[in-house]
This record gives sequence, structure tokens and C-alpha cells, in this order.
Amino acid sequence: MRVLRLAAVLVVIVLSAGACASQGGDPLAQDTGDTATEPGTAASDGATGAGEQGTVVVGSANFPEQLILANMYADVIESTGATVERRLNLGSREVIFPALESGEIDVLPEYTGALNAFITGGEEAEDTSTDALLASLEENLPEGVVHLEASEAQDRDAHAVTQETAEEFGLKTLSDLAEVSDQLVAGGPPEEETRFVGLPGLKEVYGIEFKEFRALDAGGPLTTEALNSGQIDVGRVFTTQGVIEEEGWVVLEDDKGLVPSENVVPVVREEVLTPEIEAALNELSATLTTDDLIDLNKRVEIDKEDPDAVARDYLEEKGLLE
Amino acid sequence: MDILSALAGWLTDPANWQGSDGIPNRIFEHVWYSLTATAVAVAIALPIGLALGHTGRGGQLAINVSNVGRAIPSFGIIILAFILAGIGFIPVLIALVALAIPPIITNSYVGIRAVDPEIREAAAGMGMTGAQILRRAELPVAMPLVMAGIRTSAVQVVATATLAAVIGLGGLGRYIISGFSQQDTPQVLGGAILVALLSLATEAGLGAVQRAVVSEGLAQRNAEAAVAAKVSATTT
Amino acid sequence: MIVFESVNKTFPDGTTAVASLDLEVGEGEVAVLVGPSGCGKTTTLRMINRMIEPTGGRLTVNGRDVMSVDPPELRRGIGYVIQQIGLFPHRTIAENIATVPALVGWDKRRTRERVDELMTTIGLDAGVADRYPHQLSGGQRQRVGVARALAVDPPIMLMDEPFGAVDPIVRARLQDEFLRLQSEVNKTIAFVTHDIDEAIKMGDRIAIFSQGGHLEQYDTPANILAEPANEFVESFLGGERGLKRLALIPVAEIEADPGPVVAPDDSAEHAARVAAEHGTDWVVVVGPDRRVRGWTFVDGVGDARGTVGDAELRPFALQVAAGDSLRAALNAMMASRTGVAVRVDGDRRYEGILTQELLSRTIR
Repeated sequence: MRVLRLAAVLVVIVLSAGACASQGGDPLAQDTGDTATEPGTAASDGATGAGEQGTVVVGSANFPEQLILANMYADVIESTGATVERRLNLGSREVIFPALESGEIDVLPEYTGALNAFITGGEEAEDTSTDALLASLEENLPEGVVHLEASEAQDRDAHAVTQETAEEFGLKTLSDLAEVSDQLVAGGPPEEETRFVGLPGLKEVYGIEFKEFRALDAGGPLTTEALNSGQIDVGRVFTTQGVIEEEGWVVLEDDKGLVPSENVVPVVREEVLTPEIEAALNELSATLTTDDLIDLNKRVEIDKEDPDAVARDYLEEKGLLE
Repeated sequence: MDILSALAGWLTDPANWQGSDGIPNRIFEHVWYSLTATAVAVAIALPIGLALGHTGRGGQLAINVSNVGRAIPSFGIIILAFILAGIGFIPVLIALVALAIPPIITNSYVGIRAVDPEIREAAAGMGMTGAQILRRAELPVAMPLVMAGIRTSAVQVVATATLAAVIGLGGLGRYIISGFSQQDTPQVLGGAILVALLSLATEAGLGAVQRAVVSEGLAQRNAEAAVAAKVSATTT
Repeated sequence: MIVFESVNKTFPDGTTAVASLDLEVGEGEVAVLVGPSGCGKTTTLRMINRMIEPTGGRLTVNGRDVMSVDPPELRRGIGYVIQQIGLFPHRTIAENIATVPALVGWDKRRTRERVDELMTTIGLDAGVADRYPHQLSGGQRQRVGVARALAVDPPIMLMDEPFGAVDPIVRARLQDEFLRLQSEVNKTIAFVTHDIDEAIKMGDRIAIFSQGGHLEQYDTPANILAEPANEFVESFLGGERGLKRLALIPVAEIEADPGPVVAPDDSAEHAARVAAEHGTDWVVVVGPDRRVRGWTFVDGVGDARGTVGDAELRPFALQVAAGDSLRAALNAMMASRTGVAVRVDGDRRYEGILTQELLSRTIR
């Protein structure tokens, strides 16, 4: 009787722990789950592909800039007459890139350096210039997936400190940070611990070892709150985040080139790629600049505008929609 | 099989057993969150439940109100409290306490109400004051139910303290959240198993506490009643 | 001493449970409050220790107005026994008995000694002290309830149907034990029951209540049975009132008839004459040692020259003594063909006979 009850308790606990994991891992994991429950649809849509007019599925990761970019992609693809399904806000690359590979997603806004590190298994790239990274992508992207032209707009992983911290320790560059890092607490997304551009690379390239690392989020509200309240000293941010200027944070210069170029680049499944779509996306990439990104991010993050409206405004303003 | 050996590998990796991200420290954090939350919940809910049970007034209302805390998902409370209170233990504490209060209020209220009226009558008739009746007669007799409520709450709290990691705190949830972000399945699984084991340990530990604080006379009476119920159930 | 002076109890909903009650329970006296359910007898009892607050009048216990004493303090000085007993299931028997001593702050040793003493007094084995209530029989639990009420030796005891929950055999035994105990401890006791027979058996005086808390009669059992104050009392006493009275009167109360007595060597002729003198057709045969040999019909003695001793004697199966009740005497009459009861003394020596006529004359 007692054993039975214990067993029942164990089952309940494991179930509830599982529920917590899926709830807690990330608020958007639910979307991933939904995607997983209908694996057939997108893949078969994709397979019917280029010749016929199938549905093009645009995906995105779960931070504002990705939502803006994906909405822009979706809008310009729609303007070619294709049917578009938006499956946005899905999670980290570790979750969504496999969905692109399997055909559940057809188009993703990506970044040259991060994507290259991901598909080459996190190896340190010899040459982190945009061209070299694009060449590497050419070679290493999985069968059936291609990248289009990269934009000059970049969103790099970076590390930021508050104005006060910068002044107190005289911090301008990551090399400066290496001098005092053992007194400082860093915060960022959990994957910071394992990605090369995160802690492993900081240690190897700069010799930076923090007193402590706290797993928070990827430049989201937790990091903002923790940095402003002094619970962390160094926060992992993205260079295009509107919050940096808003809060007056200091982004530490990557003086030894740890973080590769992170040009925005669309990656697309070949089977849905028509000349019209390719032309539309390339035209968008050619137009977009880093300052545009900062500006658009600010409208969403700080001014709380809707990403899809911000995307449409931009496209109309630049005359990219018919 | 692969995942099991990876899990075993994760659990036995010495690197996972030291430092601030080591299993001992994460367990310590988890226990600390849970213990604090349960203690705060007991400190709030037990007096309320006992007082309502003792006076017999407003109990149903209090139970319904406290159940609202159970109806709102802990995940929602934790995010809301984070927005209001900022990063730190407070949002976690609020969510866990809100989760832990209803079973304690309900069980202590029901436990006291279920005390035979003649026990209360005899206690008053012998000259016990209200507080003495509660402490010397009602509470000891209601103790099995009161403890069951605390046990239920504590086990739920241990399972739910996993959410602390969602807002950047530690505890065993760290492994589940980080493991998920890092696509490190053995870490997720290891974290979930550790949470489950900790819940079981909580259940067992509080079971021992319950045996220590519940009078032998009640334990035997209840056991005999249970046997009698079973016998009558099987014979009818 | 418990004194009610014009005591009222009206509940908030307006019902009157007790109306202007005057009642006095003397020192060392057992007053039984009896009446149909809803008559206010329990309310009356519970007002004494303020489990229910009187709404009017004056109620004193040993001279102190109960309303002037803090209820817990008042109650610690008054033993309280209820039908459901209300033993604490989480405490051992010894701890249950020690409840009030603990409340009033007795030290361990004094408490322990008192508990041991009470266990003996109420006839509980010492081995029971460390057991829990649920391990005891109903009768044992009831004894513990009484012991617990007696713990600090309060001069006053309130008992609310204390033997109502046990079976009739155990109840009779508990009643007898209680009477024996009371003869030793001499408490002032208010005792509630709905059972008139229990009231007659236990009470020095009986208070009979009717609906609405009216006291119809308050007197000794014998007086109430002899002279019911009104129709209500009479009907409450029931149809066997005569029998109940007989039960209360000892044989010693009435003078026995010498009866048609002959000796074993008396002649048959003499026996016939004695019988005729007493208007019977039988005689009691008493030996020289004054012991009863039996009885015989006079025409069974044989021819006129024989003696009584030759006749076949029949025994009196039941005999009564001074301490027996007239009800027992009546029972003995019913059992004998002669229709009389033989009264003997402590050495079973003949004292006379009791006839139905004598009984009816007594209770008429």
C-alpha cells in the first residue's frame, strides 16, 4: 500500500516537474510543442515546393528583432503572391534550426557568425569576416537549405556594463574586463555557458573568468533587471537592442575579434525559393542597416509597438512593398 | 539506452558535483527556497485555519479565497511578481507561498471542525480556556489532517520551486531550464529526477515528523478505523 | 450547595428553555433532573457551570454567584460528566484523568498519586493507565469519565446522562458503583436523565420538568411516587407507579403478620384450627429453632390424630428480609401458592408473613 502510494507520488512529481520544465524553459516552448504535434503539414507543404504555389512557412526565434525581421520577410514574400504562414517566437536556435532542417519551417532570419558556429559544431572560425563566414555557410548548410545575400546590418553578441561599473573599473574593452573579471558576476542566457562566443570563448581568447555566472535570458527583462539592480555586473546583450541606449549601458568592445560578424541573412529551403522571393529578400537585405535595426528594436522594446506593425511601417517607408 | 547512459554520465560527472552550479549547491538552494516558502505558508495559513476551525466561522469563505491562489498558475504568479518586485527570491516566495497556503488552511480548518463536539464540550466543561481547548484538545486531535495539509503543500512547493530558475534563480530547476536552452537532455532529465527524489524525500521526511507529533492513541485509532472500514467494505 | 433563584434562560431566537426556576440542591445531596426531551433539564444543568449563561435570576454555587466567577475558574471547581464522555483520544487514561490537575497546576507527584487513587476508587486496573481511550470498553470509558471529573475532588458534580450510552447490564452496575462511591465521597450532585427509573434509583430528590423548563415537582422519590403533584407528574411516572413505590420501601417499614404458624409436632387438629383462625387453608411450619420448614394444606396433614410433621411440607422458594424492598416481597408472593411472602431475619429465623393486603394498605 505504502509502496504503491510512493510510486503514485513519484509519477505525479515527475509529471509536474515535466510540466514545470516545459512551462519554465521558456514561455514559447508551447509553440514549439504545437509545431511538433503537426509535423506533417509544413514538411509536406515544403515538399510540394517551388513548382506549385505551396505555403511558405516563416519562423523566428523569440526576441523582438527576430519578430521584426521575420515579419518583414513574410511581408515581402507575400508581396510576390506566395501564401505565407508565420510561425514566430519559437525559441532558441537549438530548437528552431532543426525545424528548418526537417522542413517544418522554410524561411528563417539568421546571423552569419552565430549560424556558422552552430552548424559547424561551435568550432572557432579562423576568419570571422562576413565573406569568410558566408563561404563557410555555403559549404556547411544542410542539404536543401541555402542562404541568400547578407545585409550589412549586424546584430552581434556583446557584453555590456552599467555606466557606473564602466567608470569604477575603467572598462572600455573586453581586454579591460579581463583584468577585473574575477571580481564580477556575469549574466546571460543559459546557452552562454556552452557557446563559444559565450564563456568558453571569453576564457580562451581574453582569459576572462567571472566570479560567478547567472543563467538569465538572452538580453531580455531578466538581464535588464539584474544589470540595473546590480545583481550582475556584466550582461550579455545584442548590439542592436534599444535598451542599451535607453539605459546608458556601455558595450565593451570586442578588441580581439571573438564574436564573428553577425550580418543578418535569410536562410531558406531551396524547394520554396522562387526567383521572385529571392529578389524580394535580397532587396530587403540590401536596404537594411544596423542603425535601422537599432531604431526598429527600440520601437518594439521601449515604445511597445507591435513587431508586425513596425515591420510593415519600415517596408512601406522604404518602398519595399507594392 | 543511450539517454540512460548519458543521464548516468551526467549524474556521475564530478564536475556536476562542485561549485555554485554543482548538484549539492543546487539541492541546497532548492531546499532553502522550499523550506522558506513552506515555513512562511505555515506561519500564515496555520493560525488562520486553526482560528477559523476553532470559531467555526467564515471557514468556507477563507477556503474559497485561498483556493484562488491555487487556481492561478504558479508560473503566472511568478512572472507577475517578477514584474512587480523585480529579480530575486521575493517573486518565487510569493508564488510558492500562494501555492502552499490553500491545503494548509483547508486541512487545518477541516481538521479542527472534524473534532468530535463532545471533546470540545468536555474540554470547556473542565475549565479550559479557548486557547487551551485549541492547543490541548483540538489541535492534537486534528494533527493528522493538519500535517497532511503541510505535507501536501511542501511536496507541491518542492516540485514547483523548479520555477525559480525561470527568473534567473538557482535550485534544481536550473538544470531543467538551462538544459533545455542548451539542448542538453541528460541535464534536463537529471534535474527532473533530482526534483522528484527531493519531493519523495520531503514526503518521507514529513511522514516521519507526522509520526512523531501525532499521538499514538490517534494513530492506532485511525489505523483500526481504516481496517474496520476495509473489513466492512469487503463484507458488504 | 446549588441554589437557583428565579433563574431564566431565554435563547436569542426567543425560545424559553428555563422559566423562573427555583431549586436547591443541598450539600451531599443527589438531585436528579428528569423530564421529557426539550424540557430544559440539560439547560438547567449546564447553567450551573455556565456552559450556558442564565439570562435572569440568581444562581449560586456554595454561596458564590456563578456570574461573578470567570467561567474556566468556575468549571475547574465543578466536576462535569457527559453522556458521550469526551475523553481525549490523544491522551492516555492517566493523562485524561489528570486533565484538571494539570490545568490548576498540580505537581507531577501529587497528580500521579491522585490518578492511582482514583483508578482504584473507580475499579480500573492499574495496567489501563497507559492505554488510550479507544482501547477501553464503553463501561471502562464511562468510569474514566467519572474519575476525570473527580480528579481535583470538587465538592460539586454535574452529570448529564452519564450512563446513557452503555447497555442496560453495564448501566445497572455503574449505577450501583456510583451509589457506593457517592456514599463515600458525599458530593453535591446534579444529575440529568430522561429515565424515571434511573431517577428513582439514583436521586435523593427528583426534579421533574415539563416543556419550557417548568419545574413540576421537586421532592424525594418516595414522596413523588406517593403524591404526584399533578397529572403531568403522574403520567410521567407511568402506569407502574405502585410497583415503583414498592421498590423504594423496605420490608422493615411494615409490620409483618404473625401468620398461621404451627410446630412440627402439633396435631393436625390444631393445625386446622390455626388455619381457620387466620382464614387460610394452609399453615407455616416452623421448627423449635425458629427456622421455616415449609408449609402445608391443612387437609393434607392426614387423619385428625396425626401430627403436622408427618405431612409432606412444601418450601417457600423466596424469602424476604428487613432490607429487601416491598417489590421483592411482592415477587415472593407471586412465586408461592400461598400468596404470601415469608419474612425472616438475618439468621433466616421466622419473623412473620407479608400479605398483598398489607402492601396495598402501605401504598394506598
